Amino acid sequence: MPTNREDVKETPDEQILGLLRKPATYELGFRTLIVKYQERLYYHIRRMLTDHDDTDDVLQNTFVKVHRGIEGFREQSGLYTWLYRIATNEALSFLQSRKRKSTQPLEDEKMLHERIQGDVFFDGDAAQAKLCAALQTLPHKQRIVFNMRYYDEMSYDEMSKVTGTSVGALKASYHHAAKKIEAILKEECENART
Amino acid sequence: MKDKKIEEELRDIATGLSEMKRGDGFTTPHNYFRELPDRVLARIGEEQKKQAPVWGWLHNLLKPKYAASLASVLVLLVAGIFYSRMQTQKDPLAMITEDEVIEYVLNNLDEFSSDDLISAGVLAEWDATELSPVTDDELEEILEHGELIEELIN
Repeated sequence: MPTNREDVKETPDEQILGLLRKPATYELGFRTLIVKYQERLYYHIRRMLTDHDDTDDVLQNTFVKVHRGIEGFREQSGLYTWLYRIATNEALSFLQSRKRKSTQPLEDEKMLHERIQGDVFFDGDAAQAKLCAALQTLPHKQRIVFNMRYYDEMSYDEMSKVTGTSVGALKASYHHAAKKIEAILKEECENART
Repeated sequence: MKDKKIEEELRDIATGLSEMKRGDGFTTPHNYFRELPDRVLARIGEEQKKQAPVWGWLHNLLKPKYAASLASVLVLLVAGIFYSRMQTQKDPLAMITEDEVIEYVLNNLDEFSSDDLISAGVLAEWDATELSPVTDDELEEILEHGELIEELIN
């Protein structure tokens, strides 16, 4: 079993699942699973929520749910697909709950842009901040589809397994999202010029 | 972008977007990913401790290795209850209430001997033993009253 963090990330899923099956090696297996997938899941959630603290809460909840559900995990779907699905559901639940509880009016793109640029855990340029702000204006599910394709470069088949949506619907959703984002960015550029 | 197919797809849909610098610009606190596994495992440990007194034993019982034993106990329990109900249904007298028995006996006193009534507790034992024989004088008095009653009736 590798001990170096970078080597741990290369541990095959079958080996992780083998460790998780035995009580004596369960903790080692779960630690390996976290090390291997934490960064990918973190950024997937972060792109949805933008705030680090919210992302940290949701990511921890994701791993707690993985721990609770690992005994029932059916290996027909890949481990990563399963983890991604749990993380996506957790992020969606968080967003819906925040929307229900919020008494403040929705932020517009300009406010979102300023908030993102002021975040201490954001070091992107102005264009990246604008793109991130524009993404926040998309409906939650469309945002997930866009992130999966644009940032995570997932195939439509993988996306379909995660979201339980047909490939055709995902293609249409990505198409709409990309068009919308481009239109928002163009409008902002024109407003900045005038 | 590594995947050319995805890049071409984006260029077809939104050319401006496909030309933008890729990356989200998000960062994390120092050592965040180094510390996260310990934090998650500590949280899971705490949750297990909290659950242990209430749910721990039940959760253990539901584990596959105990499931067969638990299922056997449940089957025996259900069979026991079923058998007990069957026995009750076989004995119709067990269905009759005490009040119904008393009512029946009182309505049909002639059909029971004093001994039966005493043994069933309907007639107290002293009622019979303390009855003394009727004297001639008492008998005459009863008969006189009897005549009187007959006269009153007629």
